[in-house]
Amino acid sequence: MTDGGPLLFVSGLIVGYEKKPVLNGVSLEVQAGEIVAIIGHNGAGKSTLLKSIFGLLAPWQGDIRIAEVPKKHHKPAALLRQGVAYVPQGNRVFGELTVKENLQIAASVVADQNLSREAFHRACNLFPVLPRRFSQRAATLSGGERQMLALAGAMITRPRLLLLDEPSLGLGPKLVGQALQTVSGIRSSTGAAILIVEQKVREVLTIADRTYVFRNGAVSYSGPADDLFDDAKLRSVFL
Amino acid sequence: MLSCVDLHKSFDSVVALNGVALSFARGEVCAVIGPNGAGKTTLLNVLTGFIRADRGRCLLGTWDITALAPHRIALKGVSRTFQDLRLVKQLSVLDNVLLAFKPQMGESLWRALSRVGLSDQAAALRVRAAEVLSELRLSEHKHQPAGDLSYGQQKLLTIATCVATGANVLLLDEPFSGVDPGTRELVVKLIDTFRQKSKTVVFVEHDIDAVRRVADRVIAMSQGTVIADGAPEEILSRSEILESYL
Repeated sequence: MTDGGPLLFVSGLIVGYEKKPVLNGVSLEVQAGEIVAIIGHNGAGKSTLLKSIFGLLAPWQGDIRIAEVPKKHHKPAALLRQGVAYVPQGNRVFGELTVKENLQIAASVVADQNLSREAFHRACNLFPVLPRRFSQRAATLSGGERQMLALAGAMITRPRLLLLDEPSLGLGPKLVGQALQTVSGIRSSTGAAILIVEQKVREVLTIADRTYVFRNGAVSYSGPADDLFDDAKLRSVFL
Repeated sequence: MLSCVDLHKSFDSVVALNGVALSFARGEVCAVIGPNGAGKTTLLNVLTGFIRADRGRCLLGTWDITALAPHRIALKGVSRTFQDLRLVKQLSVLDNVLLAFKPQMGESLWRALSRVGLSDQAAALRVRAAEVLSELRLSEHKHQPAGDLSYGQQKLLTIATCVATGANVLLLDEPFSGVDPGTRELVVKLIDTFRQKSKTVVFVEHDIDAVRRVADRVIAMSQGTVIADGAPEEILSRSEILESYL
């Protein structure tokens, strides 16, 4: 990427489903190695943004650039090979395959065999429950374990930009904090920038550098995550 | 109302249910809590026929429903939601609710051929579906494909489909996860309404504040076993629960 430019640049994005717009001119940036949280009410357009960035929804208007290269019309498979990984809501994994097979599929995205093996082992170290379940079908994992498998799979692709849609969904109270610390750990160990959508607002603020608040398809607030630790301010921008 | 005796279920070497015996009363709102992998969702799956237990029995009143297919159990008045929602995403929000109504008189061959009373019945169902969607604040989305709704809205729609079935027993898998504060309040009110209507509600949940607000009873599970069962204030103050889970 060019020195100083954002890794992800979104400008004036308008996109929706059928004829109904969901995002009405969203602009945001993510710098290399940064964790940026997106918070907001259900239906505000958070997940739609991630789908657009990952090429699952074609923008109606606006610009999406990764490392200053326009990506508006790129397909998910191409983006994955270029270092963009996406973990959708609901811990989607290949239920009929074993845990190990799921991870091997993720590893196959990385062309260099040595780097692929290294990423595989690093993910297994970060999620020690997974090697213990290697031979188990993913469909028989608990919701939390499937979420870990989905995160590990994304991490194995060696992303420089990781898009996460509610990684805490379905996790027990203890695991929510752990999962978000793991997200932070992925940044530390891989240097990836992370754009994360979360409903666990207070928890995600502890790992984010910056935050965007979405309301009715637009950015209603943006600023350092620390600023929203103040309850009154959080209530004024979010609730 | 709904009960199970000595339920056992394993997946390969993982024990998901290990001798679970529970009974849920009419009008009771019961939360099932526990760490991921404790067997909570497996319990719902076995009670609703989606997974066969290796051993044990499930009863609805005096009916043995252990071996019944999921749709047979649903027809007996047990409705459920799933963590992964399972809506018909290509269909409209309204059609998803209409699908959930019990089979109607017109669905018999003779009625379908004669068309007697069908239009009145269809109109009545659409009115009722619109009422359900209004109750769940989904009216403005009724003609959108369900898959175009946000996750939180889809979660509300799954609860709407449960309401539409008219079931007396509702099993809800994490109704509060992934929803914003406003939707959370709506779900709290809905569960209160179910209680007022004497419906039995069993919900799996990690949101302990929500559990404290709506549950009459809390069942804590760990490694396929019920480790505590009682009033929320008692169960949620026990040190072993706090340490292992909260």
